[in-house]
Parts: sequence; C-alpha cells; structure tokens
Amino acid sequence: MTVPVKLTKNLAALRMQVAQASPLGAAPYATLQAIHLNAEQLETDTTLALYDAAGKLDTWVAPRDQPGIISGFQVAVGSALDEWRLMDMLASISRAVLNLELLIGDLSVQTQRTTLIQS
Amino acid sequence: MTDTLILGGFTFQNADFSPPTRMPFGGAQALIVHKLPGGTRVIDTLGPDEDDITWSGFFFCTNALQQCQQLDAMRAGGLKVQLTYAGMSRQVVVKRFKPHIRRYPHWIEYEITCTVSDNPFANSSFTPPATPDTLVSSDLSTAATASTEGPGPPASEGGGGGGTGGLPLAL
Repeated sequence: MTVPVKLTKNLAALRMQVAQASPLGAAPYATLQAIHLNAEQLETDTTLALYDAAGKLDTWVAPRDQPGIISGFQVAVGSALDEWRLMDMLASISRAVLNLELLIGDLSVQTQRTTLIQS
Repeated sequence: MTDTLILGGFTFQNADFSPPTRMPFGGAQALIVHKLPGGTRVIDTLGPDEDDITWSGFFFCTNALQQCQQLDAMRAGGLKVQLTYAGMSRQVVVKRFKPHIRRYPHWIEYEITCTVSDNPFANSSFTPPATPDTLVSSDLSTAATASTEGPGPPASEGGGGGGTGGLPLAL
C-alpha cells in the first residue's frame, strides 16, 4: 500500500494552483481563498488517511499460518511506512495552510484550530 | 562591574560625578496594523525602531562649565557621533542638550537626548521574512517528496512560516 492516489493528485493540483497564482501577495482575494480551501481539504484528507494507516497498525492481529504471517507482516510494515509518509506530509501541509490563513487575514482560525494528531 | 559612558570622545567621568544614575536602551518594533471586519488584525512588522536615548545627571567639578560647553558644541555641530556604554555602541546625533547652572561655575545639572542613527545590534539580528510564495511552495514541495520517499527526518522548520515553528509570515 502507498499514500492514496487521491492525496498525491490533489497535492500536485494544489502546487500547480499556487504556482499559477504567484506572486501570492498580489493575487486576488478570491484566488487566495480558493487555494486556502483546497489546502484545508487536503489537510483533512491527509489526516483521515493517517487515521486509516494508524488504525491498521493498531488493530493488526498476527496471523497464525505461515503464509499469513509473512503477508501480515508485510502489511504491517507497509502501514508503518504509510504512517511515516503521511505524518511528514501532514506537517508540511498544515504549515502551508497556516501560512495561507495568515495571508488571507484569517487569523481567528489559528486559535480555534484543534490538533487532530497529537505530537 | 564598572562601565564608562563615552559620547563622541567625551567621557563622563566619576571624578566629575557626571555619569547618570540610569541609562536606557531599546525601542519599539515598527508595525503596520491592518484592522479587518470582525476584529481580525493583520500585522506587518517593519523592523526595529530605536527610541531616543535620554539621560540626565550633573557635573560637580572645577571645570563643569567647560565640560557642558563641550557637549553643547557637540549638540550644535549636529554630527553623528559614537555613543558607547554597557558594552554597546551606537551611532547617534545629539538632539538636545540642556544644562542648568546650579552653582557657578562648578555645579551644573544637565539633560541630554540622543537620536540613534545606527544600531548594529538591532540590525544584525533582523531578517525579513521570506515571501509567501516561497513558504507555501516549499512546504507543498516537501509534502510531495514525503509522499513518495521512505521514512526520513521530520519536515524542516526552515521553509515554514507558522505552526510549530519558523518565522511568522505576518503575525
């Protein structure tokens, strides 16, 4: 298993939007708001994918048969790798979202933010 | 710990009783506050804004008047001079020097105000924040890399502008 394709596609699209709107400081407010909403959605999707990967690890039960042990172990390792990747992605995406919030002046969001994944 | 107050080559000496009992430093951060509907604020930081350095004291010595005339000449000249005290140094212009003769010619009280022209201590630590494009693009680029690569160190703080670290973009 790898990072969901939906996430990588949305991330690539967001990068393209940011590049096209450059310089962000001079971009129209509506464009910035749209980019910000897309980034927030990506942040939410990444968080949910992280929950999914973490859940697979938390609920993993070791198979008893020999082929099952091997495949089960591979699944566990794959989920751990995904969790690593998604954690790194979420850290960067969250910071990009916060910078976009600062850019559009949506500072009140900062105090209302809840930490979905405790560090 | 002893210290010497020197203004443009003029030393305020303990023998004259001229050193002040207190010396200020510091100032403000120049800000532009954009007040938005709903009470939201966006604050742009423009960098350090040094306050004038003002102190007062008195000369009690046989040449008190000459000492004050020397400082008054510095005020009249309007040139940039070096102000040194407490291990710090600044380029200043003497904005105001006001002596008051209490007992001629040996007891004169004074007040002096210097405007800071250059404070290397403040400027050396000020770094303008990166552009929003750089901050957002670098974070998204890091996320894209993380999605394909294996486990690695946590996301760098260097490219960030908020959240858990990094220099705020506009705060």
